[in-house]
Amino acid sequence: MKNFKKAGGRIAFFLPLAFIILFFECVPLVSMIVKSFLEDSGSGFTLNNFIQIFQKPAYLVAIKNTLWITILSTVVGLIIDFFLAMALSRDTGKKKSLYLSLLNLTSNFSGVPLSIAFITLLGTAGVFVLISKQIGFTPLASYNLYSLKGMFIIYVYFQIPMGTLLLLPTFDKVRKEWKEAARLMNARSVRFWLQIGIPVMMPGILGTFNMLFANALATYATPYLLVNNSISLLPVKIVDMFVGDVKQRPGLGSALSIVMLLIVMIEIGLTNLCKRHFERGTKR
Amino acid sequence: MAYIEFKNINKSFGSNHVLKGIDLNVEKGELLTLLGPSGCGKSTLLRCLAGLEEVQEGSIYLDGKDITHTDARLRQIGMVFQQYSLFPNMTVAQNLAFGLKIKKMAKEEMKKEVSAALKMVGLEEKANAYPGQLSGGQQQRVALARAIVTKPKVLLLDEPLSAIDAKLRKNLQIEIRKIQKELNITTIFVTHDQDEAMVMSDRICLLNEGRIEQLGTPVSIYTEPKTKFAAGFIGHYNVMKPEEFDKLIGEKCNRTHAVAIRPETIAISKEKKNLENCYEFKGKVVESLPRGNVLRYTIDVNGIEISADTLFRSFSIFEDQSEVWLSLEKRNCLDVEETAV
Amino acid sequence: MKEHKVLKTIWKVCVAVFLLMPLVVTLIYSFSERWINIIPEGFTLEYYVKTLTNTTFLMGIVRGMVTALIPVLITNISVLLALYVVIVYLQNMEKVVQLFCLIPSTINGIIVATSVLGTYAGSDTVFSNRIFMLVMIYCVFIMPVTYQGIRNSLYAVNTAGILEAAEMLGYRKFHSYVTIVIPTILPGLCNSALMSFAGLFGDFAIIKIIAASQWETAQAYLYRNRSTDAQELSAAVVILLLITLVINYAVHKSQNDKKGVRAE
Repeated sequence: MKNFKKAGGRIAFFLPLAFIILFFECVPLVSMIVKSFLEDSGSGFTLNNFIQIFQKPAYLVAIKNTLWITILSTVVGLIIDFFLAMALSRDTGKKKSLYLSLLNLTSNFSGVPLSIAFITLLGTAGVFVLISKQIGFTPLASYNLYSLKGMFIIYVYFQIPMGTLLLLPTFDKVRKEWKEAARLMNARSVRFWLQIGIPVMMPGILGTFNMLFANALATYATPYLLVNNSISLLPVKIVDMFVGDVKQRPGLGSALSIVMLLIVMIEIGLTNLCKRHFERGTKR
Repeated sequence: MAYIEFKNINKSFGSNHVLKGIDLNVEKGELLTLLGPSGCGKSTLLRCLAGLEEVQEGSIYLDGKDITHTDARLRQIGMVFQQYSLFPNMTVAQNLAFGLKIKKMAKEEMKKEVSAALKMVGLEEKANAYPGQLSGGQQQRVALARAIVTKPKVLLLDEPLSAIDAKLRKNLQIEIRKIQKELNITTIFVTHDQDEAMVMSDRICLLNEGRIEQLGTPVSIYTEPKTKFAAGFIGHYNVMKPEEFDKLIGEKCNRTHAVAIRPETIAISKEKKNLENCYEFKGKVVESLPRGNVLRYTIDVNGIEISADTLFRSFSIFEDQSEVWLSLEKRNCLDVEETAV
Repeated sequence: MKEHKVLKTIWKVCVAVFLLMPLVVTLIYSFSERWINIIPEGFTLEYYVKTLTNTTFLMGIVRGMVTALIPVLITNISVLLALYVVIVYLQNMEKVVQLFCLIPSTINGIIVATSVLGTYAGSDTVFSNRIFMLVMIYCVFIMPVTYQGIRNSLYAVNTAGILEAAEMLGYRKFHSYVTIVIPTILPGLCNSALMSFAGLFGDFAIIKIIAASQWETAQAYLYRNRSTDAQELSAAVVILLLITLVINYAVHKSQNDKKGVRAE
């Protein structure tokens, strides 16, 4: 009896977490998966939702657009972040902490405020656009922020602080001795980074890639504010299926969510394969 | 002209003057040890030769050429670091081949060179292992092999054995020395361990606070320390001021320099022996510490504590607090300078 | 080596300029009367006065803070309780707890929010209350960060060892967990909590899905008024950024305090 009471006490400690996880993580997830295989009228098993997604151009374009902007902004962001973190990794003192503060501040600068700031900058009546018109600098004067390519700059913007902050600790893994040993063997610094530095950092780089990818994929506020439905992207489409002004289609929305989930899982699977390849030597 | 020449090398890190006008010559094929406590500048001097630190004043010559401002990449110097210097993402063989590939060596020849170098350090069977799978000692062997496989003009060893446990260290000391002699490669070895320096070196350069304290063969440095610091650092000498020495032996000698006495030159016995050319005096055993095959006594003589070593033989152990007679040959009392001049 | 240094500095400056550009332009814009030529014209505080007297916006900030704070508290307490049991009694549950706490990092906020909405929206229970839903979704959203922060701190201070030592001195384990372990890891906890708070305060997607009309936070307010006066919007953005800056400073400070404690 005493033991039972004790065990009961222990389980009570688990209850709050279990409640949240069960009712707001597991149940909705399962219900979403089930729903994706149901007609919206609620009757019977169907693959219709998935068939629609892979047949109707509207959804295919959404997937294509999403993949394009996600992958490209992740890669471009990662390259910028890599060199920035490299430049910062050897710095010390005040200058570095000032730069880190800037990164920390801008890493929280996202969503609606960020998009508004970019509208002020590059929107139809944006400051840079107006100035460019005055001085006749055409590439900027005709900048169209309200397009996939136009939004790209915002995606890259929010990938910079996040990725750099994540990459910085990875540079500490590259030991000074390796650089010096390579240098004494007449290796130039490009050779060092390609053959030793980057392979050693690869697990960290891939982890950062995952975070940036997930971050870009789930970006909602920016496209919703800038292009809404004129250019379709997965997150906007999914939300529309549940809370849109037109007819709500939770079945299709669930199926789209699952597609998005699959994209994440495939991406994580691929980076894990890559990671394993690079971890060969470094793990005991 | 010597093979390597350091001329008036000066180096500071901020306000910290690390090297203060070092002049040093190293002959071709010799193994010179830079010995000194941490912070004496020995590693910095080595890194200046490697080109990993810039020299602020003075010049370095290698094989007749001024290399003071040559890029580290082009100096043809091999170096073994304290630890963790192997590239973790490459196998042992790939680590060795790294430098050869840059030399654009043919594949076949490269293979031969790599396996020859691995054979030399006794690790042929580990060619395809990753550094993470090797013990600390094995890693340092590979690092040595990697440093010599490119046939550098000079081999630099920066405390390569300090992270390895004592027993293995002894073996590696002998092995490194053997390989160095076999290749007849000019080598500079950095250590803070005087025993290691004794075992390995042709010559020892004792450094203290950025200056050369003494330079010479291991035997000469051990038996004839020139300064207080050298005496204290090398042989656990008892170093005392002239007036303390007078107090010890109980007579006035009017010495002008500090006196250094090696512990093993002091003989301990129960009775006075009345030997010639010896000082003899009475003391009281404070404590005794076994140190390997030697028993080190701390003895109080007229209020001055000195150490005396005897071989560890069971029939001649003196109890703590017992009264003993000490004898000391006069010629074993060495004059030492306060500091290097 | 020298050229590398120059290149690095150039790179740092370029990125900093890019990062600062929207901030600086928004700041100048919010203080100027008009900016249609190359140089902004006139300095005014008018838009700040307008924004700071706008009760809807201010209420939005308060709402945003409330729905950011409550989930942070709930999640931290739940994870602390659960990990106590895991560390003291059920070590083999560790992997399970970890799995479930980290799942939300794979399924992003939009999927969590839409699936919860789809499941409970018409259910006529307390679960269908939009604000309750929002808080719970936020809890799930910040679960991975919270879990990892707490777990790492608990292992870093060797919780099991401390609790056993305290038990030998006659204290009950839970008592020493609350009075010794939690205060020790509090600086680290505050750090991850503030980061979560900042993340939730800046959320727009989830609020839009769940409760934009019932519970208008500052972000939702900005969205609704996206086509009103641009200077007023800029002033609002600057104010929100200042709040973020304050939170950031607090994070920074809690980190430094932690270092200070270690140094002692």
